[in-house]
Amino acid sequence: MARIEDYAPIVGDGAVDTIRRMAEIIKGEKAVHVNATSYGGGVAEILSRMIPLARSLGIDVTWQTLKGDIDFFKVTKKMHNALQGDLGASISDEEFKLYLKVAAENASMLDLGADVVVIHDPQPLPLVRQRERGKWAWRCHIDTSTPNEAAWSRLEPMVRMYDLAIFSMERYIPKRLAIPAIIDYPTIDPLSPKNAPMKPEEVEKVLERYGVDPDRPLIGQVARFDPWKNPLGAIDVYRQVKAAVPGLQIAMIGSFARDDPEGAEWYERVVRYAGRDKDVFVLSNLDGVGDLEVNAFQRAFSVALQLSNREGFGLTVTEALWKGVPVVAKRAGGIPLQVIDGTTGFLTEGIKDASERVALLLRRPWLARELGERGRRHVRLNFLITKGLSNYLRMHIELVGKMG
Amino acid sequence: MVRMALEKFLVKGATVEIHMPLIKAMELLSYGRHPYRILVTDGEGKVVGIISGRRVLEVLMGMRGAGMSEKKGLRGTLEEHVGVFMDECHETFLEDVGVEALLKFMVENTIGYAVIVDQSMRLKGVFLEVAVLQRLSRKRFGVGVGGFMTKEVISARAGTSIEDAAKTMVKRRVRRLPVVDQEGKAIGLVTIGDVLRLVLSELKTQSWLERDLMEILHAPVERAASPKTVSVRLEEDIGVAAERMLDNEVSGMPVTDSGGRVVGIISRIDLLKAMTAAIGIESLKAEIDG
Repeated sequence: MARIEDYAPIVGDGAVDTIRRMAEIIKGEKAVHVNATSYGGGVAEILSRMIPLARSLGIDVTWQTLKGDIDFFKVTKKMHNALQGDLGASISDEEFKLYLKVAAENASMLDLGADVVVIHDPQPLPLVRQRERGKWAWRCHIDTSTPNEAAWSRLEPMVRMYDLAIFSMERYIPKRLAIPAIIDYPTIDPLSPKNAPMKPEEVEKVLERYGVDPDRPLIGQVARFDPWKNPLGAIDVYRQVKAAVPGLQIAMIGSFARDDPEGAEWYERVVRYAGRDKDVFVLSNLDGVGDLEVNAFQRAFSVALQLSNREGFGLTVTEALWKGVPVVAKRAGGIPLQVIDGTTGFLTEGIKDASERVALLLRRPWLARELGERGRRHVRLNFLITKGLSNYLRMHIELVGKMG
Repeated sequence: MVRMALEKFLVKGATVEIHMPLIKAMELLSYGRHPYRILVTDGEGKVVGIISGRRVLEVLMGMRGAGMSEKKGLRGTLEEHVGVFMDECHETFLEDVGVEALLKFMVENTIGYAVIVDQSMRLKGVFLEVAVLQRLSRKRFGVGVGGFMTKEVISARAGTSIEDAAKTMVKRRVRRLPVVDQEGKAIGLVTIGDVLRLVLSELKTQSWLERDLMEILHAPVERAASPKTVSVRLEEDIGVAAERMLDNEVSGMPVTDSGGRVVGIISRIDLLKAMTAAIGIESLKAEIDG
């Protein structure tokens, strides 16, 4: 497991010293993070790195997950879509009751007696109703700028019970939020298995295992199989570029989270859309694609795609840039903070535009290299885990009122 | 080395050391041509964070750091070091970044600044939208401000307390409120900097009691607002708006209709976005380089 000092060569001594000093202030304090799942999705990934790192600094922090059946997660998935603005998603009274009931059952099983309790996303939101002590923060990782009003009005009274809300971007904050809000950009861990350096022969081994030809160009999109992520659009781009670059291959890589019943359905749809083309690889955790494999694939991409129509922050973009791979993307969520058009990749409007940019980068490897290098620097300065950890430590200090 | 093309746009940028008390940041945010945000550096001049006027106002209003105020009171909280309150800076670039990249980053994300550092995170300067506008304010674009203003006007009625105005600015995440009369006409403008300045000057003359703070905050907003209302009409050119903003050293102003009613707000970054939309980023860069 990485230690805080391991990050100094990457982010500098200043950032690491600041973290150490803050950790010293709240040493021995108890904190709890709760989310829906311990595997799959960006939140679990952030927590799986952040929590051990915080513990190594002497903070008594634990990570707990909800227990629920498929019906519960169907409701919370609907809630998730509704909060992201899906006007068609309506939650019946019965579904809402189930949501509250499962949360209440969980509250009695979880250990929530801490100085600071951080609840991630809407699934465990109602736990606050069983709050006994401590300060509570709701960390909302999704875009709630224009929520489905009916769904938001059901959740809002519970949001109000928190001391603080944390959002990934300024514009995701709902307009009439009654409690204080802060911004915490998501970040990636450069030392995690998904992002740590790999030897070329390790990358090659992974590609060969999945039948990808390491001698031909590969592009790809890493994203959940989900309509927001526009996986079919990514395949369209591949098809257009392939007309000019016949050897082109594409890898569509996603994972199924336990709380994502829609994923399987969309996976099937992507596979069908790919048809019999042997140069399209649709891969998931079910094929044994884990962090290491994603790392290898991203390193093997000549260009990474992120054609999502809706994004949270777009951490898969951060990951690709960190590996020195230029990204061709649409303007969604936090992507424009990372992809600076013509500097770290290209921002595009549609399939045709994206295809032209991908083709350009394949024709000019020197340009791809330059953009990739700039992308890596941009991530190093702005979007690495040490910033995320600092934010949590600072929030904790502020909430409990401890001083140095 | 900072690229020549970039160097001429950079300003030094206000800084505060991480171990300084929060009130020091408040002073810097309140005086002179008060900046809206200050960079936080460590003992070696390396950038470790950023603190904005809103952040300090949130603390003053008890909307942040409540846990701390409960234990130490507001006075104690303001003596606490800046490092506890600052935000992480996510707008950092190395000194070899191009002007065009910075412009694109700011315009795409509606962010008015970028922090330029060297490899070891030492501050080299700050790139601000105002530096670009200064080179464009004599130009006319044939585009009115109406299409680029924020149409949802959040304002304060004359007579509203400073406290309510400040809370509105924090909650609605805006930096300025037009102060309007019964007919919706602007009679002043209040900014976060104005509130900080007033509170600080009052506190300095008194004995630092929370009671005093409450008294200040209960005064009508006109007491904090600047009475000279700089505004721009809906149909006026974005270049005219930029010129007026720079001449009056304001970062945003109300937009009015022919009857003088406030129908929008326009800020410096809105103008930069408008100019980019009007002539394209390449022409814009050529204009400011020339």
